[in-house]
Amino acid sequence: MADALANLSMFGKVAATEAFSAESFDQLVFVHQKRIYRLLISLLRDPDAADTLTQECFLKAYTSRTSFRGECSVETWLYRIAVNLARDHVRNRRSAFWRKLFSARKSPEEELDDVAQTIPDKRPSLERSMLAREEVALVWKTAEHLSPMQREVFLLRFAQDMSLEEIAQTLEVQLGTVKAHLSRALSTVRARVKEHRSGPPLK
Amino acid sequence: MDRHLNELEANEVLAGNVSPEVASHLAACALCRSSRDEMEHLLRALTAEADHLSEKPDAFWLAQQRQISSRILPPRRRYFAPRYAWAAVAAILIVGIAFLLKPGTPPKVPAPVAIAAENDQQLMIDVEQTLNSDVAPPLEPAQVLVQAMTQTSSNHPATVSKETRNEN
Repeated sequence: MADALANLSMFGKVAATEAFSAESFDQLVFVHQKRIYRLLISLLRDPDAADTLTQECFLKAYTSRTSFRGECSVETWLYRIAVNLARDHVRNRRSAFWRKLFSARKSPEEELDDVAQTIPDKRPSLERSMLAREEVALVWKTAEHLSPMQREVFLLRFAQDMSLEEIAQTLEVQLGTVKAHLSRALSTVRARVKEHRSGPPLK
Repeated sequence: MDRHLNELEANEVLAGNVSPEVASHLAACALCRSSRDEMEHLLRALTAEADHLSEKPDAFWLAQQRQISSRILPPRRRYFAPRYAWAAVAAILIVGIAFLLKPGTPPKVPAPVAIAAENDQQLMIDVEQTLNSDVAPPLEPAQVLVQAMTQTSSNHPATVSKETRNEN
């Protein structure tokens, strides 16, 4: 079983047939569910939706397992399904998404403090920490305003920590396209952060 | 490079593509390096926050696995589907009929020796009667009739003579 999954993580089509049986699919879920959930929560910022769509992702993978041709890794294939589900979710429930985006957001304070340390500000530490929290929130908010492709590329790169090649495979676009979208997304985010630092704090 | 990084170059750096020329500039320029570090930390906070949001107890993952499994596994077969019910009813009927048709206590069959003895005795009686009789058994009714007529004529002789005269 472990061998089958290992082969599957590479490019094994034969192994895919074995690993997609109902019994061994449990193992597939076990191996990939955390990363799929992480991807979805990065894209959606909604724990409930991420949980639901993680389940949907695996169900869809199971029902359409015959269409898997082994041209990419199973993980990339699962990412594609998850990204498409997230797109549909954002498209269909945009208003609810936004409500939850601002109500469910929680950031680890240690990371925010770390960010706060890098901000060239002479204000007291607590204030800088608050500013860092605001800036992280600002980045998330800015990402939500990006075009769908820019947002996905940006979040897959920085929230999901994927390489540009992995992003290109997941989104089924050329590497150059990924770079172009990422550059535009970064320009927008940098501009918003710069604007925020020079203007009044975010409310 | 005798200038600060432009926007595209800064984006390339953040995306992870650093040319040797840009790298040497960053090593020499504190302002560009500081700007890069600020953005990198900010973007790293996204990764950390995604990590934080996706941290769940084992029970969560287990429940999720069960949810997925329960929706993936095919429903159990109904072993008592109607077609099987008909088969069950037919089997019950066959067993019931077989039970009803099961033979009870077998009738008493006389011992073959006893039957043979009775037959032999009856045969001996018949043989003795046949030997003692004057006529063969098929003519016994005729003999009975003759005897009756003989007895009648001996009791009424006139009737016999009159009849004799009439014949003449």
